[in-house]
Amino acid sequence: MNQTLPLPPALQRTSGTGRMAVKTVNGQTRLDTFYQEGAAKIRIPRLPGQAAMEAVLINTSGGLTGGDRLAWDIDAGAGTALTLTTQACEKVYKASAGTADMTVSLKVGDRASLAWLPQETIVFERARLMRRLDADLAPDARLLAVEATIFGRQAHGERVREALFSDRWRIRRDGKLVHADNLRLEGDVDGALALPAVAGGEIAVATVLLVSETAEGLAGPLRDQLAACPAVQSSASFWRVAGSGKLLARFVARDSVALRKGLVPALSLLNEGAPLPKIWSL
Amino acid sequence: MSQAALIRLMSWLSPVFPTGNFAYSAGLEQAVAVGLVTDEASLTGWLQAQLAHGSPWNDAVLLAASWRAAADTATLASLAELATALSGSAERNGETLAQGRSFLEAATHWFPAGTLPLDGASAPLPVAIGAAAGAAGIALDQALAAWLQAFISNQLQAAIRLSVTGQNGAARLLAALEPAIAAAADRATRSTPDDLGSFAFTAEIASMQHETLQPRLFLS
Repeated sequence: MNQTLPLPPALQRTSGTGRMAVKTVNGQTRLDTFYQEGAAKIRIPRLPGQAAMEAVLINTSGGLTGGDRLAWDIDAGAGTALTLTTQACEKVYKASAGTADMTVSLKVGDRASLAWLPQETIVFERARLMRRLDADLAPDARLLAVEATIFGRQAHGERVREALFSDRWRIRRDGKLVHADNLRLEGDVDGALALPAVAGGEIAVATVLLVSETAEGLAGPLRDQLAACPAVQSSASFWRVAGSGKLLARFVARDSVALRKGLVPALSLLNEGAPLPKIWSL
Repeated sequence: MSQAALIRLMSWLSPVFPTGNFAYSAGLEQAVAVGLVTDEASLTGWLQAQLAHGSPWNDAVLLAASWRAAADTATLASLAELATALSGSAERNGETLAQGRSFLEAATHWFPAGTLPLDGASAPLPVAIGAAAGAAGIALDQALAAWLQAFISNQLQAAIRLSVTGQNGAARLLAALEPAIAAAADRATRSTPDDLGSFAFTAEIASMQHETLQPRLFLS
């Protein structure tokens, strides 16, 4: 991320960049290149007997606030299988000035499979977050991605009267845009969430996307599974854009516990037998 | 804006224009089926939220960007690609692409051969209308106000068929929603693609659920 307007020293905030590339060695996914700087750390747990790799992303500053910059840049080379998650929920705190900026760049090579499964983002009162997720997929690559967001600290009864939340996804396959999503709430978040067309007063939402040749066959089972889960309001749809099949699901729930009751089985199904990170268990 | 431009704008957005808009409810049918919209009050709230936080807002932003890019083929192509990728469900995707195709076919009656932007291309409806309005000298603020009003009219037509309201009720709602339509049109007139942004999760879920609703009157 280039920062065109340097902040004065008094407002200097956390920044971090984590980069990682993986390749295949004898059919196993192994580290190729690795770089971490500032608050961004990447931990790779040993998973004996597994060909796939899991990486845990850590923001050591413990949260984001105005002026913070966090960037993840991940490259899954040809034939690899990589699952990414985060060590903790990403908390976005009150910003006294500026906006927290988070960028995620994913590259998924030929026959590679990448699962982007971060834990929930928690947006607090007066938080300002701009997040971008860009993914570039090879023609026969596979991507499973989730973003789950909770507004306010429900245990404390905190509501979000004033905040900025912007989450922009651009997913390309073979150079063509197959999925775009611009989620945005600004100002009275609580008031917007209360609207029946928005979230009917619930505070936990999530989006799940699968771009894969197998997505079409998973649409029916996912729909059935979601229909049988009363804890969340959710549904899924499959269609093709620019020749690529995609399966999109949306979730609304009263809190993060209820949200996970819908999300965990959905992610298990869409991960097609590959194990989810331990953190994504009920 | 000239009188000819006004007539043209009204023609393109009139119910008789062959985009088949009577066949689509943009998720409203599902919202009625599951009790999210039951009467005039809940319908008003639903439509106001769609204008402020739903895909109709994104469509207005895309229309504005396409109006500005009417003479710029490359930008129009990327706006068409973006608008297609932003669709929230299979049905909404089918709706905007089928209507965009029908609009471009019918709009050729107003343009000498080879001068209609996006002619022969696949473009979602707001991109097709924005580009045509820009090329035809229709003012952007008027195009947006008419586009958003046409969306609301179409939703009210659907609401009548779904027995949520009647013709008198629809007239009452057209009057009540005038400020929301004007506010969205004003915002969209000043917008750039950076202003794209929606959060109508419940409405998006309703649109997905509509795929399996039986029986149904609408294609979306």
